[in-house]
Amino acid sequence: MVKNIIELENISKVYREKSGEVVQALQPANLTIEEGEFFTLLGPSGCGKTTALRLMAGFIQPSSGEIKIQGKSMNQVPPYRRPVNMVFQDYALFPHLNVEQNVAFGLKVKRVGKQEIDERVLKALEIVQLSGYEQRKPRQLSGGQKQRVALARALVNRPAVLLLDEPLGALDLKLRRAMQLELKTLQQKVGITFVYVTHDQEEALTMSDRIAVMNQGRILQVDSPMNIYEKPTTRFVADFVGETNFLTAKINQIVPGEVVKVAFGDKEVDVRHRTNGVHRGDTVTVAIRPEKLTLMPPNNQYEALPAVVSEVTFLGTDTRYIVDIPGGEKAAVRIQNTGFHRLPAYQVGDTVTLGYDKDDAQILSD
Amino acid sequence: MSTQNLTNTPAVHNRRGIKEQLTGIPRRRQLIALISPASLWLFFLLILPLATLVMLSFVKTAFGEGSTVLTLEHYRAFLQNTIYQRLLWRSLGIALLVTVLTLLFSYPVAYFMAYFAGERQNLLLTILIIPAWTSFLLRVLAWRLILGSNGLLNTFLMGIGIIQEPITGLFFSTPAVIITLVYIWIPFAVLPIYVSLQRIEGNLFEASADLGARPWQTFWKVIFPLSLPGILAAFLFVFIPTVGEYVTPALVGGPNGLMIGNIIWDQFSRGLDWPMGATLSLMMMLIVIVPLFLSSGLAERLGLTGGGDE
Ligand SMILES: Nc1ncnc2c1ncn2[C@@H]1O[C@H](COP(=O)(O)OP(=O)(O)O)[C@@H](O)[C@H]1O
Ligand SMILES: [Mg+2]
Repeated sequence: MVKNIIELENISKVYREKSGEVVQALQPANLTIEEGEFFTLLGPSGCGKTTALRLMAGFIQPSSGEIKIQGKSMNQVPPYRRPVNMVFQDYALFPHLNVEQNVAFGLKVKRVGKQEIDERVLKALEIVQLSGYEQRKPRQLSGGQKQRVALARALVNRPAVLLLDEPLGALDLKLRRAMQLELKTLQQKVGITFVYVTHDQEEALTMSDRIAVMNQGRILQVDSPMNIYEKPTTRFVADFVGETNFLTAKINQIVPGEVVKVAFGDKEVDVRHRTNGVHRGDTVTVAIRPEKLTLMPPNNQYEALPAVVSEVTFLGTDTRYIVDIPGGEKAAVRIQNTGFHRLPAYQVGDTVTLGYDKDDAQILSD
Repeated sequence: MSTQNLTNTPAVHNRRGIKEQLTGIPRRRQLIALISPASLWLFFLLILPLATLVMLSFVKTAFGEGSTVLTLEHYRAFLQNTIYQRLLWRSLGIALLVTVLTLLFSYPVAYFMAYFAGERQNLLLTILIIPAWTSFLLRVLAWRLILGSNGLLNTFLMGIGIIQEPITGLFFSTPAVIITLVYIWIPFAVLPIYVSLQRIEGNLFEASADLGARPWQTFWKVIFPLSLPGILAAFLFVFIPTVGEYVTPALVGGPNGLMIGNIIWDQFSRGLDWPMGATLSLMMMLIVIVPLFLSSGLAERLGLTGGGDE
């Protein structure tokens, strides 16, 4: 049975500045995180991710609502008694302690026996591949190494939940990619629940079991990476995660559970009916990813719109086309360069047919 | 940055600087480097006075015929005269006590200002420093008004009936010297400690609490060790000038509150025995320099110098 390890019930956070300014950093939100999962809070800078994480760690108090960890209310529990550990964005290593002492810190303050400390520190440093660096001071380490120390320092305490606040944010791209894989592998190996904060959608998609997409203090959608990508429910999510065409269409007819017939200009096509709260006659936004669109000769089994190519960009693995569709809007199309075709397959000014699978288009609720 | 200067004594900086300047440079250029402004500054303010003192300590008299006669008699006099030695140790003891008391009073003040004063930090800093703008003499003499036989303390104690007669030993005594010096030094000690406390990254407290440390554990394991550079700086700021203090003991110490500085002063003024004064000064410096080196070694070992702990 799946157990909830963290439950946020109606949690909100309001910061009151000395100037009297009030910042609603987190709107009342409910969120449950399951034991053992890699859970990611994804959103642009300033959307309240760190606030949510700090509420879980206990550094700040919620303005309303209750935080439960392992079923116990944490509202009155100070950070040093919570079964969670945090990996800070800028590592927050103790500059006066060497690597070994940094990692041993948590065990020492909890008065774990000397021998057990030594063993666990050794093991933790092994896990993050820093054996041999015991005597180094933090300032003698590279960014990636500091990152590993921070990780070891948290993991060595065997927390119920590990909170990570943009832990890879300060690393260069290549190291980031490597560390992403490593972190994911590590999480599966140790089996600890990770709550991971990032503003990098690609990172979130590759690492997470589930993602909560946030914007302006609100949690917009909580779902698996695939559903976040394939079935975004809001324009913000569709836009923030990957590239998306937002096309305006009018609903002509709804066949419940089946299809919605929408019109772009005077051309009618089908979209799978998934979205509630839309009605015949509404003007709606239809979202579709550029790579889900294709350019074809006319007349075939797909949903199809006549279009004219207005821009062609060669991107190496893909070619990106911008086409004019009925109704006057432009859509981006991404087609993989498989090598079977003459490249590019179409030129500016070509008349083409724009096709898609009706399951791949999504009518957005807002 | 200014905070680095607090942790590194200027002497250490200069030594390194000149060494770097001189290695690998042709000899002629080295000579030119030697008369750079920094070297001139060093020469006139440090080497010249020191050399003069050393020379003085080896001549029979400062003036007249004796000024060309080399002798070790002043050093002998120092080694044989237990009064000089007692006074030197006494001065060191007083200086140590003054320094420790000053640090004990200053640390909580600095701590409060750094972490609890919020927006009043600047106001408090100003209040702390204002007394240092008034005349040193005035501040020392102010303690007469408090500790003297007709002073505030005695009047108050008699007023509430705890004592019948004024306590006369309060003023013109060693405790009066200590109290006055502690009072004078507190602002100078608070500042470096305050700076070092302020420099500690806020997320280290959170990291500490996150790892399970209670507030007092965070203090002893994180805050205190990271404020050591400030404590060390404050220690040197207070200890070194206090060993050689002569104004305060002269004003409030009375006959029993004298320190080595008063004797040295006497040799140079009334006694007119400059060579003896020079010898005593050098002995005092020698003893003061020891903790200075110890502390810079300590700072290095703790990894506190250089300030580059990101
Ligand atoms: N201590 C604070 N005092 C006042 N406002 C804050 C404080 N911390 C964060 N905020 C504000 O709350 C909002 C959310 O911040 P944060 O949780 O740090 O976002 P994120 O981590 O997603 O970038 C921002 O508008 C930020 O300016
Ligand atoms: Mg943040």
